Amino acid sequence: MSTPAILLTHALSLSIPSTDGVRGARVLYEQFLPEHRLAIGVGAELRESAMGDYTGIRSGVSGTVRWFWRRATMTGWYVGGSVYADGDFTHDDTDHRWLSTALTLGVGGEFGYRFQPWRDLIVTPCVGLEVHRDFATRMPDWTRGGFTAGLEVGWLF
Amino acid sequence: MAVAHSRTVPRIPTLVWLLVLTSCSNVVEQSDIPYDERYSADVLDVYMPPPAGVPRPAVLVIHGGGWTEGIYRSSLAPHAERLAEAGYVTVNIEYRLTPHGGQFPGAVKDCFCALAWLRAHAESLGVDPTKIAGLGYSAGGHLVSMLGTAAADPGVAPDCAAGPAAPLNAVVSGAGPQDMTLLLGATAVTDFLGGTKDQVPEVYAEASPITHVAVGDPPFLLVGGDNDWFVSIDHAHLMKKALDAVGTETRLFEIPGGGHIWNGADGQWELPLTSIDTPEAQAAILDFLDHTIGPPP
Repeated sequence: MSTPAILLTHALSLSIPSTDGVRGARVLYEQFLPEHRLAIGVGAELRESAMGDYTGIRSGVSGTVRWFWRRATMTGWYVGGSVYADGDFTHDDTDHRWLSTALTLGVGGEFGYRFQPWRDLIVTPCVGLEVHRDFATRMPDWTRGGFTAGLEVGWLF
Repeated sequence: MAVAHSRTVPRIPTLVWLLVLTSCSNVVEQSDIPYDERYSADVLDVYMPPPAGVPRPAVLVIHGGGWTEGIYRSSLAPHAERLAEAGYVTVNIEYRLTPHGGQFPGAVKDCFCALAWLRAHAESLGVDPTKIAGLGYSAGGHLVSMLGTAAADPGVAPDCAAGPAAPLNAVVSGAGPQDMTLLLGATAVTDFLGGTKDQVPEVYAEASPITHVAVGDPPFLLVGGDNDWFVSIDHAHLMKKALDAVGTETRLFEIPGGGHIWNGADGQWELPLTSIDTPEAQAAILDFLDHTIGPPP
């Protein structure tokens, strides 16, 4: 007789795009609410956003909600949304001075599929749409939108 | 007894009006101005900040798109408008593309014509003709680099009514090819240059901004992502080295993990988001312009 599977309601994931260039990372913690099939998450990102004759630092926090279709587990197809806020800091390394601080606020929607290839390892590719607005100290504010593609690797616990 | 009317003012419309007013631009745009009557493609849009009483610095904006059809000046219109809102007169140009006479050196000559037109109309536009920078992305980054380095080359000298042009006073080249021999043999490249680098090596050399680097070149800001599959960051590295060698002030703004048309945003890849679009790059570009052609009055 097999042992009933334990429902794992927490996940910790690393965003692969955020590690592009091995200059940063974004980590997402999710808590699953089985009765609603909802995963509510909070994320934090820190990455180097410029180099060469400049140094750029980007740090941000985000909130996500994901609704899993047909399953009362944190795997399978889902649709979701997110909001985030990033602070962008740019330093001129030649003249040794900070150039500007910018704030980016974004909101996005996505759908994806989370699978569990081995034990409690989870892999989550997703695509979506996003709108964000940059508030800069010198340039006029700028609202833009675009397509997004994400890939997360994490662990259920 | 006085009646208080303030409660009758709806709050939401007031907020909407505030949002509308704060987002209104005071930039005046003049569209589709021909700068070379010989070619219908050669038009430009001018974005003018309010008159300042003294001439303003200007930025010539050149779009990319592989020198061929599909991407036009509208792709950089937001950049042109935002730079105008920041106080620069901006001129966003179209140029002949490869199916329509833009094959090298056609497109380069057109861009020189646009620069000559801007200098010729500097007074009426309220522009200081000695303070004109260029901003281009991808193929536009190549063309703007040519405007910075190749003005003395008779092979690209324009024969338009506005006459030949002196080089730009500063160059911002985003993901611009600087050494054409480094580009993959894509159709867009071979169409632009009339063959492969083995077939027409002399054209590849003449069309490469790095070939023309010389003492006295204007300051350069090279912007690119180190994960750009189309225009490798090697172009920027080599160009910086060449410009440094002749004593030209050169800055390199490199985005870790940045691609040609995508970049990271909140842990995801976002498309389209070029390396000149990020807030950090925008800050560096504006500071570079302020530093080289001067801050707007």
